[in-house]
Amino acid sequence: MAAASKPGNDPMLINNADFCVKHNAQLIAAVIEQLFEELKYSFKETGKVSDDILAALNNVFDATLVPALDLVDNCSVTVLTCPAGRHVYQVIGSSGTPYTCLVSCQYCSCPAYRFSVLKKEDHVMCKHVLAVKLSNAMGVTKELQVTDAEIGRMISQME
Amino acid sequence: MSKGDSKPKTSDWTRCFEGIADLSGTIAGSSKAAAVKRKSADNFGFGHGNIFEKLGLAGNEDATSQSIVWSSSESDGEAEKTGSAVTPVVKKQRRGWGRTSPKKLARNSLKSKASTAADAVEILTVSDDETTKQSSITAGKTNETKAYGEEISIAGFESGSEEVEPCKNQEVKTIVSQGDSQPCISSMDSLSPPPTGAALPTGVGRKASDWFKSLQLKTPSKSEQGPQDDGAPDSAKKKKKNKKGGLAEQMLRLQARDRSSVRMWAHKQNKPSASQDCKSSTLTVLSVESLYSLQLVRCSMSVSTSGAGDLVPASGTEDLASSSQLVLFTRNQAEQLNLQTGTQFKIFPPWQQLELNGGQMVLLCTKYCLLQSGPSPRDERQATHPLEKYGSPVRASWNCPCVQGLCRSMSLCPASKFPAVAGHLQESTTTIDNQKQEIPTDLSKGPSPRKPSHLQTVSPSKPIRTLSCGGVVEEDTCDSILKSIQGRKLISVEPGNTTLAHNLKFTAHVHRHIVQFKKDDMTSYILVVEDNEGHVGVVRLPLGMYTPILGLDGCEGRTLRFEGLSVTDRVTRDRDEALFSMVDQVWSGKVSDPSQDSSFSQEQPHQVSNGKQDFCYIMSAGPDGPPSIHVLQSSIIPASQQSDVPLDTLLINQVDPVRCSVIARLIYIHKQSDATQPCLVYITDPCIQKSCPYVTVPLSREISLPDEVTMAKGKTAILLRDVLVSQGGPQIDSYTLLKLLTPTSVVSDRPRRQLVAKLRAMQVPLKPLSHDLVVNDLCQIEGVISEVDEDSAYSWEACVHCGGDQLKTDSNNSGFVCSSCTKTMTEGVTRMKMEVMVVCDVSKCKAKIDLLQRTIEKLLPAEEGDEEGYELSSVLNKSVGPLHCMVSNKTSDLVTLREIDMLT
Repeated sequence: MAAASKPGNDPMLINNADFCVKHNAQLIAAVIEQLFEELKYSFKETGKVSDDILAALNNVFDATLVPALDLVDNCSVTVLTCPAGRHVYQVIGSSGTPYTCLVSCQYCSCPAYRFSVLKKEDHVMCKHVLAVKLSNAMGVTKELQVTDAEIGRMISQME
Repeated sequence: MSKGDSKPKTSDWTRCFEGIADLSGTIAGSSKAAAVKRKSADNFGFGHGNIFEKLGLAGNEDATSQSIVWSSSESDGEAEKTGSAVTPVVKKQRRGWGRTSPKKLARNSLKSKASTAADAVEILTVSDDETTKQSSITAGKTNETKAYGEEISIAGFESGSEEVEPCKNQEVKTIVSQGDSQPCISSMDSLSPPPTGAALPTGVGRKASDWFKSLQLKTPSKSEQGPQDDGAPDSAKKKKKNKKGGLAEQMLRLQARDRSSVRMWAHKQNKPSASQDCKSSTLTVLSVESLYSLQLVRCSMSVSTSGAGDLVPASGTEDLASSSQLVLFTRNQAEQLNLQTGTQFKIFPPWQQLELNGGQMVLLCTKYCLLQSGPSPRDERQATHPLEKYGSPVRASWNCPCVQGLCRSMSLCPASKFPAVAGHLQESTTTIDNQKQEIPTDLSKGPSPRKPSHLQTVSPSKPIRTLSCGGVVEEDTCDSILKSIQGRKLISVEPGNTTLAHNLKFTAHVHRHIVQFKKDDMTSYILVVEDNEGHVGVVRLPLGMYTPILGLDGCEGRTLRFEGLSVTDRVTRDRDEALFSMVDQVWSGKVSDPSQDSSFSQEQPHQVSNGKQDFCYIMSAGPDGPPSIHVLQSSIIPASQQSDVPLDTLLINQVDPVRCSVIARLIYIHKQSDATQPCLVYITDPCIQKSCPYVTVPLSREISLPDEVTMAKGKTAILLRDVLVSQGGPQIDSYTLLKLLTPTSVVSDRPRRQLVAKLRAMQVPLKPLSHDLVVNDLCQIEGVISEVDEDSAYSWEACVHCGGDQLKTDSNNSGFVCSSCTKTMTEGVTRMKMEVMVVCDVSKCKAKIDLLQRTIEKLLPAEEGDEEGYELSSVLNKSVGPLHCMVSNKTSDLVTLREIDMLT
C-alpha cells in the first residue's frame, strides 16, 4: 500500500487559492500589457499621450506613475546593448543615481524594488522599470552600444 | 530719515534681512560682544549659515559688526546696569510674551548692553502683511556707550496697525552691532499664530510658556488624519518641478482635475447628475481580490432599470448580464468602498473600459461609485472565502509524451492544447453550484493583432469615444437633442443677417418607426426618438433613401446617430395633444435636471412639468442636404414594449389622450367619396361581440391607409399600434401603425399567433336593421324587395384596366378606348347599379339599399333582357339577404343603406 503524500508536499497539487491569485495577477499583467499597447499606438499615431491613457495608467500604477513619467520626460532611460546581443536598461534616477533594470523580469537595482515590489508587494514595479516600459512604448529610449565586458560587469554588479 | 540715521536706508534693509535670514545665529563680528553673542547663538542650536555672508553681501564686518540675539525687556534693564557698550541691535518683539526662559535671560543680558548703549535708535515696523507695514523711525543717543546699532523688533500684532515703541518690554531682540549708528528697528509680523485662548489686551504680559501651551500644538496622529487624505500633495513638502509641458506635468494636472471632480462629487453628497445617472450601471460583487496596491473585483452586472449602463463590449458580446465584469480599484478606493462579496454598487461615468485580448472587459477609473446594498445573508455565507467557490483542489499531473521524449515537436504533444505552464493555464473548475466555469487564463500572451479599440471612455455627456489605433476619434455628436439644438452655431447668410445652422447631430434611441402614407402621396418615415436625457423628439425623413437602414425590419429598438437634421417645429402639449400622447407613451421617464447638470443651459426652460414632457421638437432634413443616419451597436435606452389591449378599451372615453395597441379582425374599410370625410376602419374581436359587434376607428384626414390594408381580402387580422384614444373616441393618426397579421408573420409569438388564429376563425354577425342605427353603422338585412328605383337601375361598360367609365368605340369599330388610361380593349366590363326598397322581415322596417353588382346579378333573371332592359316584375317581391349593409343616410321615415363587401 502506497503511502499517501501530504498535500503540502505534493508538488503536483495546485491549490485553488494559488491558482486564483495567479490568475488575478495574470489579469493585472494583461491589463498593464494592454495599456502599454494603447500607449504605444496612441503615441505612434498622434505623437502625444491622451488623458484617457494617462488616467488608465494612473489607475493601475498610482503614485509610481508621475515620477516615472518625469524620468521619461528627462530622457533618463537608456538601453545598453552589447555586440553579443544582450541588453540591459539603465535609468538615471531623480537623484542622479544610475539603476540597472531588466524589463523581462521587472528587476531594478533600486531600493524601492527590493522594498516595495519584493518585500511589501504593494507595487507592480518600481518607477524605473515603469519608466523603461513607458519609454519603450513611446519609443523614446536612448540607445548606447557598450562592450560585452561592460554589460557583464553591470550584470555582475547587480545584487 | 531721522537725525541719527547715519547709514543709507538700503544698507539697513540688507542688514535687517540678514538678521531674519539667519534667525538665531549670531553673526560673527569684530567686537567682543559680537563674539560672545555668536557663541550664544551657537549654543542655541541653530546652525544655518548666513546667506548674505556667503554671498559677500554682509558689508564691512570690521567696521560694522553684526550679531543677532534674542532678548527680552527684562534683560534690557540688566543691560543698563551692566553698562556694557554694545553695537546696534535687531530686535524681534513678540506681543504678549510676559516672561522669558532662563536661557533667554542669560542671552538677553548680553543683548541689553547693546540696547542701552544705543544713542540713536531707528524703529522700523515690518509686517508680513504689506498693507500693515509701518515704519517709525526715531533717533536717540546714549551717553554711556557712544555706539550706534540697529534693533529690529518683531511683534505679533493682531492687526499690525499698532505702532510699537522701541526697546519695549516683552521683546525678543536680535542685536546687530553696526558701528556707531544704532537704529532700533521694531518689526511686527503676523507669522506668529495668535493664541487660541481669549485674546489678550494689547500690552498685557503673558508667559511664553502659557502662550505656547495655549497653542495646543501636538503632532497629529495618523488616525486623526482620517480618510480625507486622498493623495493630495503635501503643501509643506517641497514640490519637485517637473519638465514643463511634459507627461508628468500633464499627469499632475489630470490628477488635480480628478481630485477636484471627486471632491465636487462628494460635496454634492454623491448625487449624480442626470447625464451621469442615465449611464450608470449597477454591479454586484462576486469576488474581491487584493493584489499589489490594487483590488480586483469580479462583479455581475445587474439589469439596470435606467437602462443602458453603456457597458458596451467592444468584442460585441451581447449578453452582459450573464457574464462577469472585472473592476480594478485602487487601494484607496477599495478601502473607502469596503466591497465584499454580495455588495451591490452603482458606478457612474466617466469610467474606462479596457478590453483584454481574451475578450475580458475590465473597468478602470471608476471613481464615482455608490454603494447600493450590503451583502445578502446568502452572499455573506458564500463570502467566507471568495476562493471557496472554486471548490475542491485541482490535481494535475504532468506526464505527457513530450516530457518523456516521445514527441519530436511540441505541437504534437497533446498537452500543447492544454498548457499548464505559468501564464498559460486554462482549466475548467467545478464551482459550488457544480457549474462548469471556463476561466480564460491565456491573458498574458502577447497582444493579438490590433483591433480598432481596446480602451473606451464612458463619459456622462458624450457617447463612447473609441481609441482607434491610438488616435482618439472624437465624435462630434452629443447624446442630447436639446444640447444639440442649443449648440447650433449662428451662421451668416447675408451681411447682417444670421440664422441658425441646420446641422443637428445627436444620438437617440428609436422608439417608433412609422411609415406615414399621406393623401398627397408624400410618404415619409416618422421616427419617435428619445435621447439619453429623456427628451423625446420626432424625426421626419423622406421615403426611399433610408430604406437600407429603416427598411423592412425598421429600426425600432436601435440607437441611431443623426447628422444634418434641422428643427421644423417646436410643439407644446396644448398645441398637439396627439403627439404628446405618443411622447408620453414612449417616454422612459428620465428627467434632465438642469440644477445637477452644469452643461444644461440655464436659459432652457424646464422640459418636464407634472411628470410629463412639455415640449417636443420635430426635426426633418435640413436644406443643406439629406441627413445621414448611422446605426450604433449600443442601445442607450431599452425599447419600450407595449402590450396589446382588448378592443373594448378603445371605447373608454379618455380625458387625456392615450395610445393603445390592439389586434383585431378587420371587417370593413369605408372610403368616403367626400374627401373631407374620414376613412373608416371597422374592426372587431371576440371580447366585444356581446355588447357591440364592431368598433369604428376613423382615419386621420391627412393620412391614407397603406395599400397592404386596403387590398386586404378575406378574413384578416390587423394590428393597430398606438391608436389614439381620446374623448372623441379612437382614431388612427400619423403615429399609428397598421399592419396585417398572418399566422406566419407572428409564428414566433405564440400568444399573438393564437389570437390571430382565433380572430380569423370567428364569425362576425352584424345587427339586424333597426331604427336605432345611425349613419355609418353596419347592419345586415333580410327581406323582400318591394320597389325598384328605376332611375338608379342601369348598367354601363367600364374600362377593364382602370375601371373608368369613359369608354369610346375604337376608330376601327373593333373595340373600345378608355379616355382615362387611353388603353384599348375589345370589350369593357359591365357595371350595374340598382337601388331597391326592401322591407325587413324582422323589424318590418323599410330601407332603400344600394345593391352590389353581385347581388344585382343574382336578382336579375339568367336570360338577358332586351335593349330596354329587364322587366321590373322579375325583381319585385324577391327575397334578398342577408345583406351586409352600411347606413349611408337616415331620415325619420327612411333608412338608406349601402350594401358592403365585408371581409369574411
